[in-house]
Amino acid sequence: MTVFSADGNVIVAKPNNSLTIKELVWLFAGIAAITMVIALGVSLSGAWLVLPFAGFEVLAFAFALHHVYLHYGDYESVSLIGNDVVVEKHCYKNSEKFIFQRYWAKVTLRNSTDGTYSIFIGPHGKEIEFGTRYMDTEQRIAVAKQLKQRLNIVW
Amino acid sequence: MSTTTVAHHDEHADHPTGIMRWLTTTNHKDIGTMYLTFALIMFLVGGAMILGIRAELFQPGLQLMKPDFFNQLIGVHALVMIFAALMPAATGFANWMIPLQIGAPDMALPRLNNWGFWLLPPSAILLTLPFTLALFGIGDGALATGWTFYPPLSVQGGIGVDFAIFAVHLLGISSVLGSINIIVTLFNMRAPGMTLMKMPMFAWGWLITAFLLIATIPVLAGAVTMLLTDRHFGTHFFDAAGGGDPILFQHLFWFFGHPEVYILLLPVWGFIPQILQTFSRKPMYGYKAQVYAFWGIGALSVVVWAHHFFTAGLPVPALLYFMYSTMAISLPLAVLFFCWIKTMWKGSMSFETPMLFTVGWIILFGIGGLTGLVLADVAADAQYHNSYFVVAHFHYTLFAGGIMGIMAGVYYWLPKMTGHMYNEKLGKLHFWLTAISFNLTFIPQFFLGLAGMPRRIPDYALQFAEFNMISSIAAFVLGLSQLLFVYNVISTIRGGQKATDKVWEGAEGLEWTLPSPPPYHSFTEQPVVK
Repeated sequence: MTVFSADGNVIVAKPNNSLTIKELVWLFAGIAAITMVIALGVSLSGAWLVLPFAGFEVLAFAFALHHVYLHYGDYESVSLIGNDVVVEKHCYKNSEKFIFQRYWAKVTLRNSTDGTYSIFIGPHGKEIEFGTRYMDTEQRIAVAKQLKQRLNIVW
Repeated sequence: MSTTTVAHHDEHADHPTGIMRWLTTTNHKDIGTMYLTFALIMFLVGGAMILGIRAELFQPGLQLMKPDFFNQLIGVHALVMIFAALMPAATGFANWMIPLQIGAPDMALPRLNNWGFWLLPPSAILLTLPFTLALFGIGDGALATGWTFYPPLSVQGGIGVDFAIFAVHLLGISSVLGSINIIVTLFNMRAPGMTLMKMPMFAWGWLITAFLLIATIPVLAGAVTMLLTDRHFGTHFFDAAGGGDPILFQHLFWFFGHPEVYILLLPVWGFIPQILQTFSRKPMYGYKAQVYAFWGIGALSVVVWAHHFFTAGLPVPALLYFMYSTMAISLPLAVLFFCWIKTMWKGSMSFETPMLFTVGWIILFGIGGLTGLVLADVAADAQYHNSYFVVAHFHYTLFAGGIMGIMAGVYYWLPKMTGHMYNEKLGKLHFWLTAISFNLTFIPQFFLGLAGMPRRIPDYALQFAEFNMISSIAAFVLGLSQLLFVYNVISTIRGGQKATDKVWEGAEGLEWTLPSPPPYHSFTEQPVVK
């Protein structure tokens, strides 16, 4: 998913999280409730050894959802700020920031043999790929076109 | 804009090759392929076991094996077919198709996906190893209790029971990991615009399946662990002499065991309407009704378990409750049947192999469902319980309803997966041989059951000889005809006529927008659903 700022100087690509944080909590609560109600029910019939397995399952689900939650904030962005082109990549706790001189930065769109396109930004020899994970080919073409136009504007 | 073509630039194409690709892969399509391959191998293993059983039953008297070995084959055949063939096949399709159908780049938790698969081979080894150990004089073979592990037989059984208990634990962990992954993927990774009520039916089928697994696997895990402690640690959970209750195990086992039927069938019910709409060339009828029917069936499936042991001596109110609640499942199922038939109604139908399997599936699974209604009747069940009628009924449900459905799915998606068209003539021959020999195998078993032949016996009265002979011959034809399927699948993987992206003229859905075969990482390009 790609988001453009109003002036077109900031482009952010991020995953589409179709589950909101609130829904995520409700999903976990629902599954934990169902699992534990069943486990408690059969425990009352004497099968108490079901309880630890139900507990492990709820724990595993919690870990899985927590992992997903930690990646909610992942994004890649490119910002045109004054004389600089700033590319940022954020994945969980890892952030990378690349700053290029606007005058030397080039935007290149390359296609591979399987028909997909990739955007490369930066001066010759120091290019980095942008929008690998969160954009489709059409969006990459559009973003590359827009960036190219913005970089050509005399400021 | 400068556009340069480079030989092989896409960083996603930099994936491991050779054996490491398969051991370490986190790619949903690779893992799906491994699940499907594993399922096919175990289908042949489980099939070979049942051919041994049918060879023994070809005529009365003991011909080929001792009764204990016969019982071992029966139990392991069921466990292999249910846990190592049908479930992995459905999971293989889930891995392959769910990300493609909802426009996601991969499953939400790819490494968990890899672990889920690699728990399966050890569990298959645990299930079958006791046979090999017995050849060397170690232990007394695999579990001989049937797949249900009923105590006290399972408490008194040999080491095969322990192996099976650990195998069930591993399979359970694998299923739970897979379910968590599917739930998270379906809720969080849908393409923009794809609301829950726009999800393909296959995704819905798997969502309910995953919820059922999450709800029931801990109960099975607890039950078999209690069995293990009864066997080795001096507990008496299921030992009446020690104050325990063997019927409690039956309650626990079937609390898992009955939803398990729907766990096996819901994914198939998910892709059947998609195949029907493709080859009827008209939109699916009653999408919402089918989704609600899925929910209804899922909910009812966890409250009907005791119909599997009506004859165990349950109180009358319980018998009545479980009889009526079991029969109530036929209502949402009738909705599904109606929608499937209405999807075909006045359609511009063509009968390629997937459609043949699907139409055959509807008829045969219908027979399985209707004979299930007979067994749901408490009074009738007293007569038919533990007879060959039950064997025939659940094979109409699980072979026709499960495996033939899976085969429809394989023929439907194989061109998309491999990029090649399968041999249509061979596919049709496979269908007709399967359908005819399946009916010739199991219709006689209905009659055997009605005449009173009990299941799980290696010898029988002379009056049952003719029907058993017909059933055995047909079972061998059924088994051998599956080799056509194996040949067709392998030759399609190796080459053949190039498949188009859409493959089928009437196909609808995101998976058909990708090339055939799809690129290693699908939807790095996220589609938008309108």
